[in-house]
Amino acid sequence: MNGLRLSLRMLRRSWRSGEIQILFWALLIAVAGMTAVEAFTDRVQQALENQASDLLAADLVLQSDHPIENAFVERAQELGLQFDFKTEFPSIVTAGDTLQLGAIKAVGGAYPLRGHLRISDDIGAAAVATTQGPSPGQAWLGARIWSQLALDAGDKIKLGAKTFTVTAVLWQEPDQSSNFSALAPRVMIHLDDLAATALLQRGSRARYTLLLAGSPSQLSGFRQKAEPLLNPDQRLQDIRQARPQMDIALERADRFLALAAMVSVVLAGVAIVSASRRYLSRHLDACAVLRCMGASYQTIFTIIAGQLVVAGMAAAALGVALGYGAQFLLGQALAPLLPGQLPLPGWLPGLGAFLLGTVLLLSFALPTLLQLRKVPALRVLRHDLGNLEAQGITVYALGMAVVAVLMVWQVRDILLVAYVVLGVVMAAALLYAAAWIMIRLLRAVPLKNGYGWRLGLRAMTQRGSDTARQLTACGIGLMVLLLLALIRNDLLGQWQASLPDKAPNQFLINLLPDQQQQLYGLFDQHEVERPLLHPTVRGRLVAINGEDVSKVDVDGDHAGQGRSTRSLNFSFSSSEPEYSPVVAGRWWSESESGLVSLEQEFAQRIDARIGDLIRINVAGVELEAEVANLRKVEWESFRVNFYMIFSPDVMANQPVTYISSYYQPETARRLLRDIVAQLPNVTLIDVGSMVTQIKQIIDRVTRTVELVFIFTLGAGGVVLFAAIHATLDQRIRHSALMRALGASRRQLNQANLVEFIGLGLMAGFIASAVATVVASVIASLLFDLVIIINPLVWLWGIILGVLLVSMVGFSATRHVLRQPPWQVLRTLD
Amino acid sequence: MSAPVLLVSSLSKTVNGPGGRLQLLHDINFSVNAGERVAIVGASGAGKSTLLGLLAGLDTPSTGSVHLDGVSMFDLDEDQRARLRGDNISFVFQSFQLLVNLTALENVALPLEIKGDAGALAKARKRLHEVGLAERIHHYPSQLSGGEQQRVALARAFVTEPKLLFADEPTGSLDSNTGEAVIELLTRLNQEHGSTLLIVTHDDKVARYCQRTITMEAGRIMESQA
Ligand SMILES: Nc1ncnc2c1ncn2[C@@H]1O[C@H](COP(=O)(O)OP(=O)(O)O)[C@@H](O)[C@H]1O
Ligand SMILES: [Mg+2]
Repeated sequence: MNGLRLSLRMLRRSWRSGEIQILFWALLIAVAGMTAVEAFTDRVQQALENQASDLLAADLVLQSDHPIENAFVERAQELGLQFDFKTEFPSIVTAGDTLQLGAIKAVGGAYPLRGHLRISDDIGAAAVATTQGPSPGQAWLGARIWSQLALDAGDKIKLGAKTFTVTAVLWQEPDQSSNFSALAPRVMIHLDDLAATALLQRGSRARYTLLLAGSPSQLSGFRQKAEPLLNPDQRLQDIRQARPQMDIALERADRFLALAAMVSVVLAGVAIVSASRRYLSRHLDACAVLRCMGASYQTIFTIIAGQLVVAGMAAAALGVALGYGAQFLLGQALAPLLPGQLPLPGWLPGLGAFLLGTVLLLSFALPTLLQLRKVPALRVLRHDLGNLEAQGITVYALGMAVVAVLMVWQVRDILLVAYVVLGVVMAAALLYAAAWIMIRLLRAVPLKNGYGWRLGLRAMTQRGSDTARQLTACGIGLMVLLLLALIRNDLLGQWQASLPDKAPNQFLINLLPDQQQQLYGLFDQHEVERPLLHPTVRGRLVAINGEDVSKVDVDGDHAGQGRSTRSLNFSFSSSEPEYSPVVAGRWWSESESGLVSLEQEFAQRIDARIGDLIRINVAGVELEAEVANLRKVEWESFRVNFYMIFSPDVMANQPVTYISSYYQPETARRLLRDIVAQLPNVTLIDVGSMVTQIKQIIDRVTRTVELVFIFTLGAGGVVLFAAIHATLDQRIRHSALMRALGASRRQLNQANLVEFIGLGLMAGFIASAVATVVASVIASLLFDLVIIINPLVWLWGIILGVLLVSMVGFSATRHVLRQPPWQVLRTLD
Repeated sequence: MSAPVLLVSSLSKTVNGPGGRLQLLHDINFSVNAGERVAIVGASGAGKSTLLGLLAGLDTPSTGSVHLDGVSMFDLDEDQRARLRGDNISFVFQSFQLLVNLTALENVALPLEIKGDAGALAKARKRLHEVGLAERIHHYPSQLSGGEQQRVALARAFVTEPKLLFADEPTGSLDSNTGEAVIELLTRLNQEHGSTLLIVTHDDKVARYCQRTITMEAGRIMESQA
């Protein structure tokens, strides 16, 4: 239709005169940000999950206590999934006349489906990565059993009825367990040799695993089909269930990135409101003239809104392109850190961002554009008629509602969206109210000295509703940025704290009481810090308040449902453990006795409360203790932790062994060999590679979070720019008039500066207040973090507000002041 | 005598100002015949622009009616009035009111494009030629002088071949020589196109170009002379 043609023609000029550009850039950055965040996190997410899958050696595993039924394999084949098997069980290994207990793991030819093994030819040789297990007839042995059996490559060992040739030292498996039940040293053989050993008879205890790998849709298809077929002793696990610490990290990262994406959307919305207002106010005369020429409202709307929409769609399209470009660069920058190749991004994030951008534009600009209806033709005769109404903060309402719906759809996290939207609404209301109060107060301030000062403050109070709107826009922009910064700091701090540089990488168990000094001696000799030794007593949970709980699910993982619980490691201590603080009740004093401290989640699972009487069985003897307190445990930390810690008196006279975790520097690898050689009963578990892997993943997530954060800062800058520019015309006209009336440039500069500093100060102050509140709520409810509010946040908020607003404002008005006033007045009229 | 193009009867306008009700126009009655050139004169604040706004259907009266070519304007709704204007009326304003986003040519073509006239640009070019701006058709308003801008506005006003042309202080923003040139041009175009002209002005020189003068004072018509 010809309205649209006219609109396009006018767009060329509107663009050149700059009024549409801000809107264009705001939308461009927001859409680019969203595309980049979505596409990039999509890819990194996939890559990270792939890496995390390495820890399972598969994407999904089916674990079973009996051989896996063919039905599952058929399902996997139907769906085209990659699959293989492994079988694990303990057995005696014989080398010559030496016997040793080993944890046998028989793996198929495709194992591992994800990740890799590290092996070496000899105990002293450098380890290399490989993606296949031993060939039939070969056996790979863990370093400890290798030393214990005093083996060399090519030696023979016997497993049941079959003899194997030892070909490699096995240093690392992707699916290495951190569970204490898998303590015995590893012997890995090919699955085809299993039958020949004749070790597994009917009813032998063994763990059978079906390993699966494939696309997410294949995997979820398998889940759906396999779940109804599961026996009680079988379960399906993916990385999130198998490694809760990874799950927590990935989930928090997910949430943070979603938050960042939302923040950039909110920022774009605010920028659009500001920019569309300025755009429309510059087109009011045109509307009236068109009306005089007989154009219908519909035509006028098409002409005026059409320009905005066309420019907006162009910005959204370009934004998508830019976003893909940016995520490509991000991918390049992060590639050396990421495992394997990044999967290519899909086209969905781009399409989603484009649609979101368009809808964003319409919903935020519409309330302003609808004012077109109110522009009377009479404006051509009476210029003061039909100026834009002061719209207050209701102009954001439609946009926020639409954004909320869209975000729920995109982010699929209703709570997060709800909190952010609530925060923004609260901030907007507070900002608007505070702005009016401050304007009132400023009006009451008597000003005697300094013309520039007076002019600046006057400008603020006179254009009251403009000032309030600007404050709201700047304030919301600052608020969401501060919010993001606060959560980011907390998240990163928490990650760093959970895995410090010297996180324990070795577990040591089964140390006898009289071996303590010898162990310390070895540590001293290798100049490694002595480890903290925890006494442990093995036993079973029997009853709570006399009620039988021997079949309760102590680990909360539904393993072995309905069967007797596994035996637990109990500890005892007279002092509160440093890394596991009491959260309810209190720690006991020296004089108290018969007490026990429970880990809080464990207490929940077994349904025990403070004051309950717990009965345990240690080597046939039943012992009782009263629950004195609950503790919090960071399971991610790789430290030794216990579900139950008793007061020392309860465990007096019980058979104690010691357990410890410690950090062994790379330079002290010989310590491991010496402990193995001199304390043969002690078991060492090297979790170093797992710690390193988890650390790497967290490092990558951290970097992603940082990059996304920077992107969002850019969007924040545009918002402030748009907010200041929204009233630029009035400002320019005002300055020109003032200069025509004889005000000096210096005075006007001063006046502008006073106004911008005032705006920035107020916006920064209120934004800090709201950001603090919302951040604490979001952190504690959604990120499970306790936020420690740094009072410096307020300072930062205010400094940031003043600096940004005055810089942007000043740069926008400066060139105006350099032009001769007559020229300004003429071009504006 | 031909039927009046414009028939104004018992027109009055009251507004609620800050100091209570304010009557801007009192019982205005007159008519304008086809092809006539009429000047409405009076001191600043007499109510001339208010009257013009009502005659063109840009504003609504408190009482009374305006018939344009026999159609009672205030019985129509806003959009119908807009269409009526588009088909019959053109304007020239004191402050030119050219769209800053469009070139001279595009400004002149605009009213035709709104109506969907396919030959809009060609007609616009011809009009600009008539007002002596053939060389400036691709200039934007900010690149033209006041007199030139008003000549673009005249070209725009005549491009639709309007029955009726309203001009509100068309020379008010121009120096007297330029103003006189614009008025001469306006009169010439009016004669060539045979349209009816209603000029609001406080300038007696402008009134001399008209066949009839209506004098206003404090919202009333004081005299109407030929
Ligand atoms: N909407 C209004 N509210 C109050 N007073 C008005 C309004 N419109 C016009 N006036 C007043 O009516 C009078 C006539 O105005 P106007 O028609 O513009 O006069 P003129 O064009 O003859 O100079 C002026 O005193 C003006 O202040
Ligand atoms: Mg007037």
